[in-house]
Amino acid sequence: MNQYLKQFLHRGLLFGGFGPIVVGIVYGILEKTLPDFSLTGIQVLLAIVSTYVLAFVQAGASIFNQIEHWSIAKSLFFHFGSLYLAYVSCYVLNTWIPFQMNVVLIFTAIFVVLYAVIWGTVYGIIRLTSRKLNQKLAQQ
Amino acid sequence: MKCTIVIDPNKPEEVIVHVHKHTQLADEIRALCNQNDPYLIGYKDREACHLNIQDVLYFAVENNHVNAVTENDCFRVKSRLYELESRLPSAFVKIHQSCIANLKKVKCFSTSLAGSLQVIFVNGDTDFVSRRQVKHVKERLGL
Repeated sequence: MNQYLKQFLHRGLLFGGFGPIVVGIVYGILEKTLPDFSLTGIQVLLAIVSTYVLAFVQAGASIFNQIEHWSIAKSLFFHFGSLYLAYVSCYVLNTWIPFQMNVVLIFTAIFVVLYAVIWGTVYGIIRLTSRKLNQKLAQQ
Repeated sequence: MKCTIVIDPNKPEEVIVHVHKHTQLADEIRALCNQNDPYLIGYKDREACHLNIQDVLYFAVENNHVNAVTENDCFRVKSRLYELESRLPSAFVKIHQSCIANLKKVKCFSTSLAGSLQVIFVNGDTDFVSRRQVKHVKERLGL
């Protein structure tokens, strides 16, 4: 099996379980705060399965950034694309957002902005670290 | 711990440590002893040769085998990565699960657009530092 596929599956299996835990916590809070909050068995099952898949993809997708022979653009495209597809399908399947063009567009815009902010923050932190490490390296 | 040093030029130099359990001190003694042994046996085309550890840029696992990469060559090493980790000099640091880098052979660190810390070796090879190992690399460089 391709080593990257193996790592994708490995990471996905390691962290996939966190999705249903998070959705369980959110549903727990909603049940306590909303007096008429209720879910059918199918809705719960769908939420568990879809958030497992979502967490699985999110964890596994980190491997795209480590495939050396891929260009940065290709890595980012696959990373962003897989996350976006996983998120949008999970939200639509669970009817957390309605399947309407304008809503999906707003969701996409928010997703792009958040992705860019998180990416920028991580990039900035790593850049600072690499600068400090290079200074130390030069001193040695 | 009792310590005895016997000076006997007729016997090969050897350190044997008797301990009740595995301790950090035992590891440190082993690492200290191994620092005096700058050579390693590497294999290339079924031929064994002495490798000067200081010439190794990094040790990396590939297809379940450990390779020692020098500036111009690559040798297979029979030790496991965790075994090497305990016997290598302090310039060597694990950068991710499958690679130990020689910091003296690192040209520079850079940031990849994918958001990971990259290591560029003097021969141009690149690898990345996993998030878990960043702390250890920083410590090793005195940050």
